[in-house]
Amino acid sequence: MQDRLYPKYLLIPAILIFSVFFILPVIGGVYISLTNWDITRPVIRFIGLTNYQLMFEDTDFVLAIKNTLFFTVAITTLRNIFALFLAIVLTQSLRTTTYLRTVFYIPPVLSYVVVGIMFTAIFQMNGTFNQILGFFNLPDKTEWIANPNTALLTVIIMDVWKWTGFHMIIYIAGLTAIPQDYYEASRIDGASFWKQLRHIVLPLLIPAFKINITQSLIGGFRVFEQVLTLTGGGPGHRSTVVGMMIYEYFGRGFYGRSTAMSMLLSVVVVAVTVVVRRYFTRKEMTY
Amino acid sequence: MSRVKYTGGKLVLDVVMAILSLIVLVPLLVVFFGAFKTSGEAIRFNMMPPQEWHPENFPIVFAKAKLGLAFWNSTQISLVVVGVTTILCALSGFIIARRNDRLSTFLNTFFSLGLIIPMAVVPTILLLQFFNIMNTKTGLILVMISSNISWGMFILTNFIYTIPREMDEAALIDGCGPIRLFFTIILPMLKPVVLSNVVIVAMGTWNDLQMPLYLLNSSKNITMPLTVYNFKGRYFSDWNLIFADLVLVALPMIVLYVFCQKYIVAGASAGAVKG
Repeated sequence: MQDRLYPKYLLIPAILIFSVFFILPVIGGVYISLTNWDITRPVIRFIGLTNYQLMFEDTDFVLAIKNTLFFTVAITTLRNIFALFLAIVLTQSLRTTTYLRTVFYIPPVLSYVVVGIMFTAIFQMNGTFNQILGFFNLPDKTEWIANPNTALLTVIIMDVWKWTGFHMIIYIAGLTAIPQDYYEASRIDGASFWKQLRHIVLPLLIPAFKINITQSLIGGFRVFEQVLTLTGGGPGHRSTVVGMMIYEYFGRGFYGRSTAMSMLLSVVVVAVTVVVRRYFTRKEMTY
Repeated sequence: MSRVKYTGGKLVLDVVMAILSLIVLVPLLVVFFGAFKTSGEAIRFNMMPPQEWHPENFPIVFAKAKLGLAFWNSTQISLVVVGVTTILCALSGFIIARRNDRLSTFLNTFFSLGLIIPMAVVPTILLLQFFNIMNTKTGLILVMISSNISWGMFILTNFIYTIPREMDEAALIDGCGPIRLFFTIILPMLKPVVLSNVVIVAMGTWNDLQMPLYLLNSSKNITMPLTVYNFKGRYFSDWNLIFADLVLVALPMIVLYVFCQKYIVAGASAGAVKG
C-alpha cells in the first residue's frame, strides 16, 4: 500500500531541483576551491590546498574571520536576550500587547536594503542617532559608520534591530505552550518569579532556545547583506566579514580563492550547527 | 507569570514598553517622513513630519529608478518562486511524512542542508551558464526555489505528520490515486501552513538582494531591492528620493504583513514548541 498511495516518483521534482541547483554547486565548489582559476588565467590547474593556505596569509581575510566570529557571538547573545525579555513581558497580558507584537515584528519583514540604507541615514554625522545623543547632552558624537572603531558596531546594532522581533515570536510561542498549572502549582509552593523562571520557564523553553540560537548562529556566520548595505566592509576593511570577502574576491575575478572562502565558511557553519543542535537535543526534557 | 488582574506594576510596564517601541518606530518614521520632504529638509535626518508634504517625490523616483520595470520583475519572480516552492514542498512533504521510512529520514536530513549551508556562488554561476540561463529570470528563479525548498519542506512535513491517515485509506478504497488524494483531500487540510509558507517565501524572495546581485547582471531584469542599491549610488545626495524608493520597496511587504500577520507568526513559530 505504501508504494500505491505514496509513490516515490512524486519526490523526484523536489529532489531534482534541490540536487541540481543547490547540492551540485556545493560539490562543484569543493573542486573549484582546489584550482587556481581566476579571470586572467586561460588554463585552470589543480593546485591542492594552496587557496586555503593563501587565505590565512591575507591579513584582510584574517580580520574578516575575527569580525565574523565577533559579530556572530554578539548578535546571538543580544538578539536572544532582548527577544526573551520582550517575550516574557509580552505574555503578561498588558494593554499594549497587540500593538507591541505588531510593532516589534515589522523589522523582520523589511529588506536588508531598506534597513541598511535607513541606518546609513541614522548614523550620519548629522543623523538621527547623534541628534538623540545631543538631546540628552551626551558628548560622544562621531561619524559612526566611517569611524574604524564603531563601523562593525553599527552593523551589529542594525542586525539586532532587524531580527529581535523574529526570535521574540518564537519565544512567545514557546512560553504560551507551557501549561498554566505549572505556574499555579509552583506559586502554591511559594516559588518567586525568578525561581519560576529558573526551574520552569527556562527548561521548558529548550526547543525555542534550540531554534533561536541555531538560527542566530547560522545568520551570524552567513552575514553579508547587512555589511554590504551599511558599511560596505569599510572604512578600509575594518568592518569586513567572510561573506563580504567572498563577494570582493569574486568581483576581482579570483574564482578559485572566492570559492575556497565559501567552502571554509560552509564547513564551519555545518560543524557549529551540528554541535549546538546536539547539545540542545540532549538537554530537551518534559515534565 | 500567570494571568492576574491589571495592576499598577503592569501600568508601569505598559508605559516602559511603549517607550521601548520607539526604538523600532523612530527609524521607520525618519524614512517615512523623509520620503515626503524636500531634498534640503530630508538631509537633516530628523523624525519630524515634513514642513510641507511633497508626494510628488514618489512619481519622480518611480520614473528615475525605473521602478515600473523592477516592480513587474520582482512580482513575476516572487509569484513563480512562491507557487513552485509551495507545491513541491507540500507534495514531497506529504510523501515523506506518510512513508515515514528510512528514505524519509534520509530526505529530512538531505533537505535540511539548505537551511545551514550558504549558497556556493561561483559554481552556481557556472551551472547557469552551462544551461544558458545566467542573467535571466529563469536562472534566478530556479536557484531561489532550491534555496527556499528546505524551510518549506521542514514546516510542511512536520504539519503533515499530525494529519490522521484514516482518510487516505478511505480514498484508496474509493479508487482514488495518489495525485487525486493529495489535491482533493490533503492539500485543503494544509491551508494554514501552506499560507504561512507562501507569505514567508514571498517575503524572502521579494526582499533578497544577494542572489539578484550575483545572478542578474542586466538592467532589464532589475529587481526592487536592486533599484535602491543602484539608485543610492547615483543620487546619494537626494535623500528624499532615496527614502521614497525605500518606502516603495517596503510597502508591498508591509501590506502583506498587515493582512497575513496570523500566518507569518504561525510559520515563524513552527518548531518552537517541539523542535
